[in-house]
Amino acid sequence: MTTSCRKATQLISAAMDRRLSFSENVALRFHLVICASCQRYRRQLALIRAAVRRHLLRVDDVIDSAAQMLSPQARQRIKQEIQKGT
Amino acid sequence: MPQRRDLQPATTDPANWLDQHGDYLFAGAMALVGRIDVAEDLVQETLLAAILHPDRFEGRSSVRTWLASIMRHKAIDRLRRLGGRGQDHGTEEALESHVDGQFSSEGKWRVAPGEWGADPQSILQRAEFRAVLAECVSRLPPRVADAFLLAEERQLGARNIADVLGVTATNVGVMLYRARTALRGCLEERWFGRKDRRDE
Repeated sequence: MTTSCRKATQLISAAMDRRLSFSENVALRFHLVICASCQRYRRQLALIRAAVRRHLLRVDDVIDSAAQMLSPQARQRIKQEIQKGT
Repeated sequence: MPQRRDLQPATTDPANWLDQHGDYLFAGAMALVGRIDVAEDLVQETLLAAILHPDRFEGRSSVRTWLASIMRHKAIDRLRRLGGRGQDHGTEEALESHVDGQFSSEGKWRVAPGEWGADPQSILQRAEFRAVLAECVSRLPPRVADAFLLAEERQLGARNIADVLGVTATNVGVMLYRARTALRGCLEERWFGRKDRRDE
């Protein structure tokens, strides 16, 4: 029985969260050998994971200039709002 | 101004959070929303929410990481509110049929994934990409977006996510599959599709 692209993409996603069973792993590997589209899907999902970790989770690398700092006015305003709100 | 000193160490004293983390949060907010006024509002909302509910800080991460996580959720909520109109798969049912619709009844791709350029890794350096990514995440149904962020953010396994969301681990696997497949399509359309007409 051959593995469909739908099934293969489900396995590609599952493999990002858990270890695949032996038979799942074999089925996926066989499919990937013959399917450029699903190879691409797998690479793109890996890229999305890297992008989410880097961009949405780690904000450290974007702090590089004074333009990225709170202005004194904004800081003052937020301070007042916090005092008001608490 | 008198310095307040509780038994809490200074780093976890909410009174210091604006000074200690304000610029950090602002830089992150700018990366997510790209507008100074909106970013300032996000910082304010985040700090207020955190200061009003310090009990939600579980101590599993640093205060800074916790604040960043609150802010990320607020940014995504905001995008979701703004995007009301553009929600092509805003409910879980709509997402299911959106993802199912990418395959034929025999399970073949209807429209195969496109090539994402010669050097797709380079997007990781692009600041504008963050905003597109956040917008694509905001188009997911709320619970699916939560599952996705828990998987990537806290790197929680399916079973832990299932506990948090009150669904089965199998269900979480399905949600993550749909989230990733929809995000892939959204990015292909909104970021990589755009590259075709970048010389406009």
